[in-house]
Amino acid sequence: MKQTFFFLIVFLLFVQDITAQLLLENKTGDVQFVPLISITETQTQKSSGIIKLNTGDQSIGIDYFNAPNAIGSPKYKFWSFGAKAKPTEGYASVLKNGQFSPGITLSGAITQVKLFDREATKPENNFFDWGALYFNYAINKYQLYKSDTLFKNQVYSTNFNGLGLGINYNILLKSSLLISVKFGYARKNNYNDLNGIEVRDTKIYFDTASNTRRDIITTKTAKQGTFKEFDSYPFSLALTKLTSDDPSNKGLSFGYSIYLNVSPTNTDKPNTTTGCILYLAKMKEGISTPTLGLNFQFSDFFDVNGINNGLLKRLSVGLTTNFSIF
Amino acid sequence: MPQKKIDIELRIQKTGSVFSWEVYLENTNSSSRVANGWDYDPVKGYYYVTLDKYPISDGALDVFLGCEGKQGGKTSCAVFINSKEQTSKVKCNNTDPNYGHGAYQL
Repeated sequence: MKQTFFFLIVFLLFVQDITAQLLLENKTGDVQFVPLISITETQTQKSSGIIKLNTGDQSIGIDYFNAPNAIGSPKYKFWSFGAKAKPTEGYASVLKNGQFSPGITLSGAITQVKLFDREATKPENNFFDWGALYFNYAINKYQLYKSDTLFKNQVYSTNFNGLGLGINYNILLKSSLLISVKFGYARKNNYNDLNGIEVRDTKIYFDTASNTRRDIITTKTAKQGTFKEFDSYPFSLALTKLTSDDPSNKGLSFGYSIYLNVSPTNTDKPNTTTGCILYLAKMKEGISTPTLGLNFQFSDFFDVNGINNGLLKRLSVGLTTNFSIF
Repeated sequence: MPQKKIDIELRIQKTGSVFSWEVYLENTNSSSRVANGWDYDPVKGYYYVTLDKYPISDGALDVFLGCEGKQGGKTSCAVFINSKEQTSKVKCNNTDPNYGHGAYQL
């Protein structure tokens, strides 16, 4: 609890300095759509960066954008690179046990602004679109526990490397409603679905001279169950209500994103995750900037795995935010 | 009417999330778009382009400005003719149905 409180304080300190474009991530840290970065507020006007915090997957990351030919051209390309890091067991294990298993995700995308929309900006047709080819590569280390093996091998580490690539397409309707579709391939694992456990090892020493018994206790956090890797073919659909950039908006604006993620795999039935991100935005340097997002997510919405534990027990809640640095 | 040649500078300022913008001179044919030569002044915060000896066939310079993006976003264009700033700017909102237009008598 103390660690969670500490993390929240650090998180809120970061929130004070938010100046961002819209970039929303879901509970597991997957970006719901490749953002269209406006290069208005950057210094070079051809590049921009964002730092991202997500308490859902407890990650911190950076995205860098570059649009070399965007000035004065209504139709243009930009590319982006990103990196994100997290302790795979969460910060509580780092703070409590001094245990750190790194998880790093590298990502990149090339985006074409105006794919099917005509090049001219006017007359206004209330339609604007962009599409991206993206890739990501995750390098994670996990601590696992296996009971049916030699005692010394029961707690062990495993590495996971996973490639993801696909297509993202976005439509902005009437300058305020964003529809985003994403599909592709991703190498995934079931680590997040395994049961978290705490392993305590106690070593006992007895000193006859002082007639004292000493217990040395070490604690590790791990996950128990059969760890599996598999190919998946994720499909995402999101509808996002954007907040207005009207400078007369002095207070907080409310926006939301409703999303549906289906991820058929080569081993299991397709698992459907659905949820919404409710966020508050405030004007910062002329941009309505999400300051805080609350993410409600139902995993396995249709209970295809037959767990039958009720929808509420498959609900998870997390905070998400981001801010720009350049 | 004899053709005139003037020096033009255009300064574009964006407010809010403008994802795409463009400027035309004289008319909105695609060949009239000011597509090249743009740069950015990071101190003053505007995009600018200078067009030296630009030929004008009538008695006025017409400037058209268009933009698209999020609701509330907008652009404005300050026009300098022969180094003299014109009193009115061309303005356009992301949600405007048509291009913002300004006609500057020479």
